Amino acid sequence: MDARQQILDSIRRALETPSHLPDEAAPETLSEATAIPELGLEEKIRLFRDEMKAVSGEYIEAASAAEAAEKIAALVREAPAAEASVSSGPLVDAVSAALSAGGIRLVKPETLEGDARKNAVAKILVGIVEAPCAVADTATLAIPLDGRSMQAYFLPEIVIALVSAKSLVANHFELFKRMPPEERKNLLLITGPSRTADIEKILILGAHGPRRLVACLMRD
Amino acid sequence: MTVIMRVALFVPCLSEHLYPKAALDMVKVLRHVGAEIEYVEGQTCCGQPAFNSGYRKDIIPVAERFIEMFSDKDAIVAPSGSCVAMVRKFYFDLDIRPALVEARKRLAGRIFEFTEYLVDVMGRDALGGSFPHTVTYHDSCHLNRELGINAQPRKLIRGIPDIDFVEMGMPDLCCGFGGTFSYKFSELSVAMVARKCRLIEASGAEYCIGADSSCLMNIEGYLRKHGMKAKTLHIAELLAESLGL
Amino acid sequence: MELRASETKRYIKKALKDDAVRDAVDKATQTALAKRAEKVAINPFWEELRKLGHAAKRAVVERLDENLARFETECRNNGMTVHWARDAAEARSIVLGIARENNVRTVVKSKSLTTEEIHLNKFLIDEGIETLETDLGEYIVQLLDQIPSHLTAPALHLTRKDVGRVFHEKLGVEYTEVPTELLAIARAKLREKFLAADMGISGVNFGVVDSGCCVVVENECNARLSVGVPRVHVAVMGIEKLVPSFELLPVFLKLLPVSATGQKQTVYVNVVGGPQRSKSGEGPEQVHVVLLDNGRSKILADPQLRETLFCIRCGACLNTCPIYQQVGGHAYGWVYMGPIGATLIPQYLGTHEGRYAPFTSSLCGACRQICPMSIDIPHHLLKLRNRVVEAGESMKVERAGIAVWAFLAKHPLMYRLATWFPGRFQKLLKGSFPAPGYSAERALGRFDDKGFRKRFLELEKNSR
Repeated sequence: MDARQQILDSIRRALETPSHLPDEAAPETLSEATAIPELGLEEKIRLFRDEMKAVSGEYIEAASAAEAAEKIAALVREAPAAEASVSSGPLVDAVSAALSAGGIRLVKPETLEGDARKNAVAKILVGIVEAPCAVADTATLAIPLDGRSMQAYFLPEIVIALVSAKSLVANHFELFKRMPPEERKNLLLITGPSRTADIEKILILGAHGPRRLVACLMRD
Repeated sequence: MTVIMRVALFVPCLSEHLYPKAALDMVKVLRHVGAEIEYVEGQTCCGQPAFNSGYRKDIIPVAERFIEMFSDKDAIVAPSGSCVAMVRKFYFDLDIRPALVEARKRLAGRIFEFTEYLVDVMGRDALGGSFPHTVTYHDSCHLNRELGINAQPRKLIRGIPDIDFVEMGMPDLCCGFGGTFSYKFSELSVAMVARKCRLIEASGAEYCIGADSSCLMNIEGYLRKHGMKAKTLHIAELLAESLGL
Repeated sequence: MELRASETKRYIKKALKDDAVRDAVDKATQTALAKRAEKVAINPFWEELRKLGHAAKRAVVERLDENLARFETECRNNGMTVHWARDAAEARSIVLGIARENNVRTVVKSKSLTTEEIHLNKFLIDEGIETLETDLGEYIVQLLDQIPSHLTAPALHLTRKDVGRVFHEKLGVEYTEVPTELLAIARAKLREKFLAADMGISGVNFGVVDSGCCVVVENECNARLSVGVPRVHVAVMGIEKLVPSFELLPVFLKLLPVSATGQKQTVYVNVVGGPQRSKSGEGPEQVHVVLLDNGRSKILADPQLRETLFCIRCGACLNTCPIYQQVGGHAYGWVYMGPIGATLIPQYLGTHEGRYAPFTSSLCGACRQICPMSIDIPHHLLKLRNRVVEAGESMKVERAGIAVWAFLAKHPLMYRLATWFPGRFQKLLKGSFPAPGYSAERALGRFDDKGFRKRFLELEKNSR
């Protein structure tokens, strides 16, 4: 008998003895705890901004692609850096031209293959990426692994993430409800910069991943 | 309309052998508020120490005897949360004979810890009296976490007008007795009671009040051995003394 | 370090004398508790989340065979390879097989207690495969050749000086005890490994049954770097680690970080649903899930103790346990420690090796109070104490004593007589009745010379 069969048989035998825990509500029962609150756009933006700061992330806003490009360029130069790796996506595309024009060299990981790709991205200080969706009540960025390069989201020390205001959802329940089942199966959720408290519970940012995470909210 | 509260005493073995005063004071206080007290002859132990040590088959006859003895009483009251928790909750883990299953359920609904009975059943939470000292309160684990009783003792303490009640840090921190744990893991138990005593000392209280003699015995033992100033007092003793009973 | 659960009494004695460890443990647990309390206080749905979590786990566990089969099907549909391991040896051999097939020379691991449980690291290293822990706490503990002392904070028992020392000795760097500098050292050393490793091994926090994906949560980004960069990813999952659906996943994504570290969310949530390299040119070409039994199906057989499989490994029970707070995690002698560990040790390791574990508790119940899954740990410890006794593992002296006590408890006259003796005896001793161990640091009360009954009857007489 193979392992699978043996394990399943062992489980079936074990479950022959019924539980004597009292009955409890089936998890499908709707409850307030899993509800999706009706939040206005401004409220979502405010929540997202406050939560981003609470998790030691940074927050900037832009009313247009041009404004975003300007602010991002300034962040890159301050880093200090003259180049950035970029993820694919419409928000990044919208700022790319202006950034390049401003003298920031943009490196698209997809233009490189295999080891060359990750080694190149790992050397670049700043990553400019976008999150197709974000959760307001925890400032969580949601990125589906849909074929895009993911390396700019976690190899750089400084990650600047573009988020569109209209893509904000209230909470994780709404996030998973809205995402198509195929998309949410391969997903990276990011809430703030990487951190550790493994030494004497002292919080330090920038463990193995980014040390700074800047969310740039696009209002248009 | 006066309802006569008839109370059957459940005397924990620790009270019987080591600290009868707390149980006697409980009797005095209950009588003072108008309850009629019955002492059921032949009572011994509910079986908790053996149960906590992992013995079940051996204590079944003891538990059955207890159930037979007490289940037809209107109310059974003990000056101990751990004893009441044993009967109210853990008796259901025992394979007693089927004929007693109904009685066991009935008993669980009629057995009370002393402060619970005074406050929740008799509706008395401010008995007055006088005790012009600073006191703090230790939440015994079974009383607090198995039975959910933590407000009632505090109400009774605050019900003494001239008492000064201060909460210690982490009042619900285990004192480290745990029955046989206290000698199976004695150094660990001592480390735990030492910590509790330091918290009592830091509170500035002259007395540490508790509702379980086992905890109090443990805490008192450490306080005395180390020449610390605070003293322990069972809540029944506190109430009796404050009322001059 | 080779620890044994049966040696726990010795470890406890030792821990009680180690002020440095006790201090570190005390500070760390109090910090963790305070942070958790803050987040719980601002969540009006906390108790409801706990109920939902319990109900969801119960639903999964009570039909575990169906759920595992479904999970397997969904994982396969997602292009993952699913393996079944009956025990630790089989699991190790499966992982080695995958490594050999893929010419793996270096492995990076994200924190997984399941892989500690099956002693995977040493096994792979002995087979010539470089196996590196990458979670900072685990990395430190691995350098010290120790096992983690906490479920979520592996190096909780260490100070910065300890870390500085081992980095200096084992990594050949200049001594520093500045935490940011220590992290920088680890980051640099591990970065090169992440980029060069052939295989990443992770655990699984939550396997989503209806979607066939493995969820790995973390803060350091080391799991991302382990599961998202090397060409092979192996996820080792205890069979109980399932959750029903994405609808309920957020419940667990909230309960775990709040309970473990006082965070609303962990920094990273990696949802792994299959190999990515053909789609994006990066990430794993192969994703393997190793479903591990290793005693879990046996635990399932007890309808009460089944609840111990609901654990999501947050470590909150450790933080709040007055015993853990005194002695730390190594005192328990196994990879699962603290209150939940005390329930798992006798179940996984047997009543002989685990004969002391269920007694390493005063049954205070703080663990049940804090557990996000509402596991009734004290109740389970009581049952396991009974199991130890029924297995004949209690001391003969105690068994004899209990038999005597039970006899006396049924014969009230003899019961009272039995205490008359110690009462008399102690008068001869001119002091308290000796109880070695107990009375080393505590004055023992005197046996009352009359006993309650006599005094009560006197009271009755006097009041008439």
